[in-house]
Amino acid sequence: MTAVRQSWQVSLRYFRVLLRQPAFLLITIVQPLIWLLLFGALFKAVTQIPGFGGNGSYLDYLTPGIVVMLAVSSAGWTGMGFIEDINSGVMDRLLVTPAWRGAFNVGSVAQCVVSVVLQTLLIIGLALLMGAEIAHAGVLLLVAALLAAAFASLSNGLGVLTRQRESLIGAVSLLLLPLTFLSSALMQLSLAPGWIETVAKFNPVDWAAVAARDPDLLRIGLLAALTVLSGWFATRAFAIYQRSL
Amino acid sequence: MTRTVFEKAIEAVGLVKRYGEVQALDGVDLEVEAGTVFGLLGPNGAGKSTTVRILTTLSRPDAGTVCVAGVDALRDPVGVRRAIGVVAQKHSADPDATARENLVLQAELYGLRDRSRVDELLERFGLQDAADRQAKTYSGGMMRRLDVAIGLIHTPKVLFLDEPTTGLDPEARADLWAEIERLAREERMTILLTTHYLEEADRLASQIAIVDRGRIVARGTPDELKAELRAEAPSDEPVSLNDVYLKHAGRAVAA
Repeated sequence: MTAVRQSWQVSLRYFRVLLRQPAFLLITIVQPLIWLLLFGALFKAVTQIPGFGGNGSYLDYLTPGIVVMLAVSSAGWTGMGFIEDINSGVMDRLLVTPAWRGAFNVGSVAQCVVSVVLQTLLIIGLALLMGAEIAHAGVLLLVAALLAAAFASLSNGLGVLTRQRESLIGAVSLLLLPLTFLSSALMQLSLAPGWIETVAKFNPVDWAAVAARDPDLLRIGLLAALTVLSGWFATRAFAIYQRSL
Repeated sequence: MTRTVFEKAIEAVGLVKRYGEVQALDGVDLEVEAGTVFGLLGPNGAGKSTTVRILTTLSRPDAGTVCVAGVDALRDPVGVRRAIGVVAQKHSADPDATARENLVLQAELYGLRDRSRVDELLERFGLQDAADRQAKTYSGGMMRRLDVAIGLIHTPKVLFLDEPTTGLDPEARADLWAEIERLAREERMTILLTTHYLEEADRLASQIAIVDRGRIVARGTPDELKAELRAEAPSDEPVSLNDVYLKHAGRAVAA
């Protein structure tokens, strides 16, 4: 109970930051719309490749892919907040309280998940307006939330361990494109080289993209497990950080 | 009112801390009586902040034992955290949040739901008019007062102040001194204060330890330390704590 309340109070801090920066809020809203229109236009021809197997419109296929890509890229930057807190001195103040360490991570992850869910709703809305059919909107929201939570925790843990903006920027830049392109987010893997299909089996972004189009419990379960594991890692990171002080 | 059931608010024995090649603490012993103000003096880099980080459970020593407010800090850091308040050298208030939001979050982190304590502290530190403005708009003195208010939210038994007046103008410094004296006198709080301002330690602390290169090089009441120096080099000039400091930590200041 205390843990939930503490996490909620910590998350309020991040929601306020979001609401007090209209520019950031605007970007959060506009970004997914740009992605959908841009990728939609660019990859329109993809579905016409023989063997793609798309029986619906290109948007039906791409919408879940764009959602998972957006979830990972939004979540990747979450750790920036902790790096700022460490440099400013706010983090040390939080760590000398008796509060549960996990609350600091959960509070920050909650803000990321809510942003991603809102962005996903916007994408779904726009895709529907453009005539797409989203067969499993609920599952899409679920996997987007899980993926965002997993990567936000990962980013938080990395931020606390490296304490440097450059390191986190490097890690996100390095991982984002491989994670997206070694998955079926934008492309049917049956058309990709065999090794990519193999690698994708271990890629959480692929789990999310596949599950969103054709819900299966195994992949959703893997995403949930990854979310728990990342959360544990981010919580442990505080202890490792303190050991270095 | 806080009732102290322990005689020694802080007991640290043989603290050692190494950062790679750097020996930050080389066997520090500290004893602070409950209900007193203790001044930890020393030049920059002497080991004051490292000591405070260990005493406040932020960091662990490589060797030594720590007992704060009657609780073993190495075995039960959470127990120590409940009993202590910390005002670090850096500003610890979230600049994007208002004073009220900062205090409410801090209260919640200690499991306190009663908001009357927040109002009480806002008023006591003269922040009620600015309570709903973002902290980044505050002056240095206001920001420092908010830092102290944050550290006091749960009425700690032991308060750590790490160079609390560094960078404050004389008026803000005098205000903070008065508040520290009030906390010690009226709330019978134990206060450990680090500083490199000698007049600050002389005025506020009943016991002083001078730390240099990771060791305690002198300790006693301000008067004892002055008397010791007078006995060594008799002169008609009044001895200030500055002379004591120069004698014990002079090498480090010059280095």
